[in-house]
Amino acid sequence: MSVSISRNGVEIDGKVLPLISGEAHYWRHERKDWAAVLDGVVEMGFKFICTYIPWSVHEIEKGRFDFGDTDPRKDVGAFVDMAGERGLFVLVRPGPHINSELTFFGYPERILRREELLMRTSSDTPAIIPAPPRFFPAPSYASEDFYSEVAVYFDALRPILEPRTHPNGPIVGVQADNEMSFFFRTSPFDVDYSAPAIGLFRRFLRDKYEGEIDALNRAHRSNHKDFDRVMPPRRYEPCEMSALPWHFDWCAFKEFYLYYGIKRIADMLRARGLSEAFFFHNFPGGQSSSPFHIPMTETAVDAAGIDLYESRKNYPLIRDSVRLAAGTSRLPFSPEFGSGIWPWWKPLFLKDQEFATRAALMNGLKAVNFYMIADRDRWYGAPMARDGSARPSRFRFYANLNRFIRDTRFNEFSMRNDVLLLSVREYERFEQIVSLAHPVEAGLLGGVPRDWLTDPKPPAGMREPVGMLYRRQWRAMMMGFTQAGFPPALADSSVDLYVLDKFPVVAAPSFEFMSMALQRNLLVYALKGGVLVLGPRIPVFDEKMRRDTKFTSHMHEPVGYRDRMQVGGMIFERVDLFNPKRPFLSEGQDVCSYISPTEKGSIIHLGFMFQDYTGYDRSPGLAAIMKRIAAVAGLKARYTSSDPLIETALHERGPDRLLFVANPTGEPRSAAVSLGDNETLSDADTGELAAGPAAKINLPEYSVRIFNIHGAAAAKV
Amino acid sequence: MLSSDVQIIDIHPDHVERAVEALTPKRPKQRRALILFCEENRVIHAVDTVKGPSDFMNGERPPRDLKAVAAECGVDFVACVERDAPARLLAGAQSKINIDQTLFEQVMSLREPLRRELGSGVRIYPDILAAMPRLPDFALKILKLLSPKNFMAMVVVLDGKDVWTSAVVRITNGEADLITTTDTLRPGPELTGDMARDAASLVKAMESARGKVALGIFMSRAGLEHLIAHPRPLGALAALASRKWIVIHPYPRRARILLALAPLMKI
Repeated sequence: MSVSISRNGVEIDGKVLPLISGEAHYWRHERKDWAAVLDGVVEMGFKFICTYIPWSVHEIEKGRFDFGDTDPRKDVGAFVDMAGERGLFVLVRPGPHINSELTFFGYPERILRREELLMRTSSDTPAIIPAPPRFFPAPSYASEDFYSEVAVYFDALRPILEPRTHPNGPIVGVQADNEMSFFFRTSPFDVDYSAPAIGLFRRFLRDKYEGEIDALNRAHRSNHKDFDRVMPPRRYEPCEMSALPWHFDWCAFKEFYLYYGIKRIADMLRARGLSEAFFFHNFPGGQSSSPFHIPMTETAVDAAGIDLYESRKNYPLIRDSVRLAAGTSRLPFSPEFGSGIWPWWKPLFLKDQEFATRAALMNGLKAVNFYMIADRDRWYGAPMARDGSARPSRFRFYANLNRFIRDTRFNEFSMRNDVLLLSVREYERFEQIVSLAHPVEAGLLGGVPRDWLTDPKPPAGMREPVGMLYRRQWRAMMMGFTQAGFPPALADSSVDLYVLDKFPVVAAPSFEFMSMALQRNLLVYALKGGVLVLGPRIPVFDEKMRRDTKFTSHMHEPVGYRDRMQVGGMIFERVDLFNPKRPFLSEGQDVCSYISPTEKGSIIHLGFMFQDYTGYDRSPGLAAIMKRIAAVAGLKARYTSSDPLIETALHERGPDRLLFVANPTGEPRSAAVSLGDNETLSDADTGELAAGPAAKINLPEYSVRIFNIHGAAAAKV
Repeated sequence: MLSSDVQIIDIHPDHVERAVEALTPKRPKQRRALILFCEENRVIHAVDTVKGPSDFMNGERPPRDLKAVAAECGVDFVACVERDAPARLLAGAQSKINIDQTLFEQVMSLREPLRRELGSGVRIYPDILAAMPRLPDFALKILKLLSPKNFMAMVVVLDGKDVWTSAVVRITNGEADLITTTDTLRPGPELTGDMARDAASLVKAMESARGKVALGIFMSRAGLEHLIAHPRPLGALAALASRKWIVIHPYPRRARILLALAPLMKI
């Protein structure tokens, strides 16, 4: 009798179920309406229901709680029982942070009045969260007193949740806290500078440097007498490159801080009788990898997912967030996926929900909790009204979606990616360190790419402004491989080596410095037979800015440099020139890229910066370069679109194939999609047929069509 | 502003979608801005929000005439931001906000640090404060005088026998504590297509569901479009009401005075 997660969903007593859930909040519905809401969830075909359990709603006064004795709407136990009676499995999210558009995000007001429990900013003010209907100061997850308060609440929950947890009851999943992100304040030098947080930072350093203050002093170029004297940086001052490790350690600590908070909460809940359930967490979507750390978080909980509330106009963000989760997490999961929206946010309508859902499935999402499944206070746009009655068009969409997932066994399919593009954690940390938007999270500034807002002057000793260049190179690689017909998988560079080994090609923007662990992983990957794509530079420093590289024997020293160079109609910038044995790209005698063979694989060094591609650009030249790279690995593009703005994605399960075709633009488009010999397509929704070798497919604006691929060739692919 | 325990319930998504579509310009112009980051009285970085970073004015003194920079670069806005200004602004605001304040007071706490930075640490062209539509002082006084502290109002746009969009707001002690739509009436009265009769039955139903309605404004979609397009919507509302193209029911004395004064108030 057990619960665990796998790539395909939740395994309960040996049976794997796709994790497709809907969220409803018992305390926000009249008790008489619970049955209608739960019946609607079942009728739409969901097998899971999820709910927050809000501390501030249940706590009447410190240490006294109402779980239905006074207000029947607060009887969470009865709600879970009613769900179980209908055959639903239950996911619970007891916080203590729940947001949920509640005033004070679910914390009792008395907690927020205790100054010693609160975060502090780098300017030594409380960290105010500007959330209607009342701004409030955020608590610190480094405070022991805070955890003591939480423990009282969790103790009160225990007699309700423990007897209802699998195998005794329907609770199979537990979320540890919620959207751990310093309350969306992810700029590195914003929070948390409270005394407990600084204490935790010192503890983190002590562990990292194994108690050796000299080791820290060597890394930080400092002369502290002991760890208790180390202070965190409060802003980025243009500095020597050698002073960066202090800043990097602060960024690494902030990742650890989030992990620490999640682990503390998860352990507290496990210790209160919930250990048979699987545990998960949800990071806010659409942000940089740091301070979020899915691989580290998944040592504290079983799955770390991302929340997404995106309109149809934000396809690249949906695609990249989902693919990053798919490439990094054990279970590509969105614990909150917008099904409706809160009233003080950008509206999200049914056409957004339809497009975003299909686009997320296309890009590898395997598990999802639709938030919300019934409208409630401070929420609209769900498939059911507050009384559980259906909003017909929305209700139909989710019913059809569940039917599609069940009938196709979609959770057993996997997106086919031959190329892996890495998000390199140290460069993303650096990009945040040198942000000129400090202390505002750059991603909040109206869609301006965050790399545009970084200091263009590199620290002394560093050749280039890596903060400005990293994401630009990443975007070009992403767009180039996509338009070449090789939609790349994405992953955090902290993933294990075995993740890289699954892909014939691994690409990563690379600059003068790179952590030794990543250098090692990348080199081993290439030695074992992979095609590794790096550039514009080969790292010669490690993360401590000490001269050290793993690539010496495989790479060439530059013999020249050009600010700009035209190659095959494309403009490259910051170009190093080489004199290699195996040139890859050149113009006349000038070689700007080469292939370096390794034991069984090869490394392709692109010694230049691509131009900046944002939005929906077309670049046949860029696609041609990526096709040549793929050819080195013996790859051939399949199911490519004649229109580079139309994206395709192949999903496979044994011989079964599904092809997703997306038009992420605001205009209707049509494209010819190349098929193999004797292959045909049939639309999974309408049954409409399309035949090859170039199947013409019409796509309305912002649409994703799903096709079954038929034909003998499909099985051979 | 919102009460801390405001209820926002039974918001019909179609009502929101229709209202948003009606109020959103059909082809919004893409606005371009130039942000100049400065430090120690030198420009250290320039970003065109559409074209990307550039070395425009790099190392030079921050420009005095931002309007001239806007014209030179062909952008709609120019912001000149001192490197530490955002941190100062946020610190100033956060040190003044507390949970005992109303949302209005919390938002107003931003004013002083913002005023301190605007013109020094942060300069913006065009001047956003000056560009904001402002009501004449006497109009503000009239509005304040005629706005009761406690009331419930509903605005309903009808499309034949259906409610096309609606909004219902209850104000208690000067703060909104209930925001909803006619969806809260489920199943709601059967409508006839006669605006006056439908207005009466919707008000009656709302009163039995949510309490006394002090003001109800009922119009057709054409009426809404006319008001949205009109430069002085309150004046236009008064004109349409006098011609019975818009039904106001209940029509309290304060609202009658307000609409009578609308032409004078130029709103």
